Order: sequence, then structure tokens, then C-alpha cells
Amino acid sequence: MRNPALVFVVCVLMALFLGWATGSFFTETSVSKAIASIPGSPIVLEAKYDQENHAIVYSVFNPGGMPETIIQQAFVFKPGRETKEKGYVVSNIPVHITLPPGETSEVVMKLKTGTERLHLGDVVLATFTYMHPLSPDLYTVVHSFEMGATKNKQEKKASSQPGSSPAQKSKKSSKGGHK
Amino acid sequence: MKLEKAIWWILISLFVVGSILFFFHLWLLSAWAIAHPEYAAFIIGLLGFWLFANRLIFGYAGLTTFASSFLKGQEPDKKDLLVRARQKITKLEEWTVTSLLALWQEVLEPYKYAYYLAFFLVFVCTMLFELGFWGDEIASWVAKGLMFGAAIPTLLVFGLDLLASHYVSEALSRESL
Repeated sequence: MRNPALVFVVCVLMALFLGWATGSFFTETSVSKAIASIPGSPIVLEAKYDQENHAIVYSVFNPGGMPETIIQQAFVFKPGRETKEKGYVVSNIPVHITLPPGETSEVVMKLKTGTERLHLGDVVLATFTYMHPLSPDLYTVVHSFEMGATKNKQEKKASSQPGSSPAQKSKKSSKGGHK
Repeated sequence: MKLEKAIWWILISLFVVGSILFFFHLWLLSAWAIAHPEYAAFIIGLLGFWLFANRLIFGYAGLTTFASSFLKGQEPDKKDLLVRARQKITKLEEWTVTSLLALWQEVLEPYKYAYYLAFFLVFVCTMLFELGFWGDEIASWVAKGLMFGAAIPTLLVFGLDLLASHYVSEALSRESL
């Protein structure tokens, strides 16, 4: 280093970056602490029917910062036109699936053994009951899976808007019937 | 010299008092440190590394002051210079000012490399924590806070070292002409 001015400039730049890094580090820690204390509501991103195991695999995303536990699954099977199976209800399947914060995890729901494979137009209305660490309350997510429906049609979450879900469902089942 | 000692004593007493309060769970300090480990690590890094850097910071700052005033044409007091360099030599009248400055810089050299080595080890450990080789997120936060605290006196040492070596080499080259 020949010039004291150059030394000065280099040190000022380094001090600037050091202050920037330190400030953003402490901001980051406080923000992530704040986010880690917020529980989110799980979102079903995708549902797929597993032919071999006769189960539906749901990709459930937990957008919050707290782990959530699914403690119960329930489903209603509504037959479409092509199946011979009659409609049935299975409720209270106790499970213990922890959804890690900020991640998408897979939740498998096994359909009733001894029943037929799903056919086009069959609708499975699944209800997941979950808890989070802040309170002992129970929350639910309702997801309707229609066999053979395209992806954006079957995406639905009914836990926040219970009034709107039956209308959507009826619309969807009529569309499925035309296929 | 007085300022150097004063700052050193202030820092070491803060460090000692803080440690005592922390280890005996007095005055809510340990509760605060457990709730905000990254802030505590930042303060520990800043205080601890400043204690080690204190001699280097004041050494290079004094070296810069003496060398630049010598370059401006003032003749510094050789005895004062020798006291500040914390060295004992015989036949002081045979030593030139620039050779005393060079001696002072030479004395600070091993301290500087030991200090940089300590900072480098902290930096490498922080990188390993950050990459997730060991520890969880809290551990990486603590390591990062410690590293940022240690980086502040390290930057001062770095800048003053560059400045001092520039002025000393200027003084040496002027003397050799």
C-alpha cells in the first residue's frame, strides 16, 4: 500500500461491508425468531392416487415457523359414474404425522381395505385434524380429491371458508361426470 | 500509553464483571444471554478480541503518529519512543529514530500474526457451523455473532497496520537517501 488515502478507502469499504453484514445478521436472527413463533395453516399442494397401495398421497406444505402435528384423518368417499362402489364414510383414523416448519411433507392416507380401486370421477373428501404447540385446540383442513381431475381444478381448501366449499364441490362433481 | 491502559482496564473489568454475573446468575444477565445468545456472543467476541488487539491497535496507532510526525520534520523523543515500544536497549544515542521505529514494528509482528491466527480459527469455525458440519442453527448464530464481534478490532488492526507500515517504510526510505 503506497498511499494512505488508498488504505483509508479500503478500510472504509471493509467497515461498510462489516457493518452491513453485522446489521443484516442481527435483523435476520430477530426476524427468524419472530417467524419461528408463528404457527401456519397447512396447505395441501398436491394429491396423487397410489394404485398399488390403494392410498392417496398428499403433499402438505406447512408455511409457518412451528411444527404441526396431524392427529387424525377422516374421509368421505363419493362414487363417480364408472365405479360400482357405494359411497361411504371413514372417520377418525388416528395418526401422528409431524409437519416440519416451512417444508412440504408427504402424508399418506390409506383408503378402506377391501374396496375397489378409484375410478375416474370418484371423489374423496379428506379431513385432516391438526394441532400446533401453542394451544390444545384442534384445527381441520378439508381437501377434496377427484380422480382424473386436472390439477388446478382439484386444489381446494375449505378450512377457512366453510360456506364456499359445497358449491365448489358440486360444480366439480358435475364437471367430472361429463368426462 | 495512558489511554491504552485505561481502555484495557475498562475492557477487562467489564469482561470479568460480566463473567461473574453470568456464571452466578446475577442481575438477569444470564437470562438475557440465554434468550439472545447471538448478541451475547457478539459482545464476548468484541470484548475478548479487543483485549488481545489492544496492544496492536495502540502500537500501530502510536507507530503511525511517530512516523508521520518524523516525516513532517519533527524529531520525536527517543526515550518516549522506546517506552512506547516496550523495549530496552543500550546505547540509545547510537540508534536513529527510524531504526527505533523499525524495531517497534518488528516487536509487534509476532503479536499480529498470533492475533490473525486466532481470528482465522474463529472465522473457519464459523464457516463450518454455517455449512452445518456440526451444531444446529443456534450454534451457527452464536458462532456468527462471535465472528462479527471479533471482526471489528481485527479491521482496526488491519487498517492501522497498513498505515503504520506505509509511514515506517517512508521514513526508512527517506533516511537511506
